[in-house]
Amino acid sequence: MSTQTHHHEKDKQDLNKFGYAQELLRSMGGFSNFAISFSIISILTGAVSLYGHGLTYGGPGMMGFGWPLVALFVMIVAASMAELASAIPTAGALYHWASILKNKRWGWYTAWINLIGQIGIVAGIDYSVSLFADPLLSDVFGYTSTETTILICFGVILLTHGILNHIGIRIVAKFNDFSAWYHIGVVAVLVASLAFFSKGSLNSVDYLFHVGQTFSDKPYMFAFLIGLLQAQWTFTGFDASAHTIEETVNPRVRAPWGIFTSVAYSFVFGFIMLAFVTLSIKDAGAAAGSDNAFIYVIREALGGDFGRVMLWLVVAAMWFCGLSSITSFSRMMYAFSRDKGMPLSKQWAEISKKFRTPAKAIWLAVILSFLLALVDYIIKKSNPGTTHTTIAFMTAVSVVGLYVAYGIPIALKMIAKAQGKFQSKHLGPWHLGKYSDLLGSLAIVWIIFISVIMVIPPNEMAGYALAGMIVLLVAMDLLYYRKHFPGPQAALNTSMAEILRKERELEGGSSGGGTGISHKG
Amino acid sequence: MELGFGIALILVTCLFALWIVRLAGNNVRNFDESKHESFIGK
Repeated sequence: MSTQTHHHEKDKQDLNKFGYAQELLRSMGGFSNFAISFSIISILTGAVSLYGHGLTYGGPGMMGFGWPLVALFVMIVAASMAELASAIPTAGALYHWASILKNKRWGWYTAWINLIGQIGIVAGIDYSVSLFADPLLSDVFGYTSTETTILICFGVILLTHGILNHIGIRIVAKFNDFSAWYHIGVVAVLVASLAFFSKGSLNSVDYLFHVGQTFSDKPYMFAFLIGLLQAQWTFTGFDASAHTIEETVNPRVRAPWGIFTSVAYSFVFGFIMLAFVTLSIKDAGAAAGSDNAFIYVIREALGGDFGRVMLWLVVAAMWFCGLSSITSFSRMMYAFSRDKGMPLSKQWAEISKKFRTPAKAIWLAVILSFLLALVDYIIKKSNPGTTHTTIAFMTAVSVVGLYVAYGIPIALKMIAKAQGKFQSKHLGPWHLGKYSDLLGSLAIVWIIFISVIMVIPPNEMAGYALAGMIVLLVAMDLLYYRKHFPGPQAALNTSMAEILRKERELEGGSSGGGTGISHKG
Repeated sequence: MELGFGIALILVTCLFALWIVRLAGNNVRNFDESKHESFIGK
């Protein structure tokens, strides 16, 4: 028996122990699992689209201090999550962990909070693509870029991502693999361009660590904290490595590495990129006051044509990021619906026999993300005096939703461990040993801190939106799901005969044929 | 002064990443499958 086939059998048996059939195509290797999270973190999306936000509030010091500070704490969160992914390798991830570490209601809330964050992240990423692409397209086709054209562009981008995700994990995984190298390549080209072809000389390194300068009306320390949204939003979405765990070969080792290393590499490459962009700033005040600070700095430093080419390259990277984020979002919904946690669950848990993808969940992800942007568009149209920016609204929603969902299972694991329910024998191969509780506690403290920071003015609209969603969740729970949500524990009652029947049924209809095993390294 | 603090922060972040890689890597290598039991919440 080859090592790959052995792993596939073992992975399938591990999944079957939780009462689930191997429905998704298990074809992702370690690099693909890393690449999907690295692509969603996408330093060329988060750090770039919120570059103006960071610069406006925290000045150049935001890049020198804010980025590594956030990265340090996010790595702590990622390490704690990675440990759980290794111990409980199912696509439901955060929600499934919370369910079995505490109870199904904790799991249900975790899932919905995660889902809210996922809507925010998909919408935020694809809206970023359209914020950059629409002005570039307007230059090419000679129209005026407006909020309406940006919304249309956003819809088209979502559509392309929906189609590719529907077609299959193999093509998406190939795009993700390419995307990881593409991100590194574009950062290298950008850094080299700024280092060697920037008009005039670069600022001294001191400039990168210059604190005390803000272009907002807030006191510096407060403004600096608001500016952390730039880095904090960038470092989201690494739970994708856990959501694609049922599509990864040897996931108990590869998924945790995917979670942690995607954050670590993003920190390194993101810092190098931000450092060179910031050292290229000619007039920080003008950049902060421009419509798009990143575009402004690049065009000032590299000139119109060269700058435009660089921006197209960045847009492509953002597009890859959006593609991966829909994959992650749809898998999360698939897993949650499999346990009947959503309205019309049967629909969203359905797997396309032809493509072995959760096709309906994919299109639901597309529609929900578009609706979030559409609602914000309508609010802004009906209240022209509104001051919040769409991108800051979406990103704040996603940061709080995702990080709270990250924090709940980490906290529940510590509680279960203290109660003696979760023991050393339950840990997977990837674990933090005696440092687990210390790192888990630090992760919780950071999550509480940033959740507060992300919803204070000027992002209070995100706070209201999240509060409204929580009220809705409580109502849904009390009125229906408290009694009718079976939770993942119910799957444990599924007989092995039923699990095998489901697997045989899908293998018969899969275009991949055979066992559906791909032998990616 | 600010430059020194900044460089120190970057170094600490890098060293933390390397420490986790080493810690988890050792645990993966020394993992004993026979002692493992799936946590299924029952």
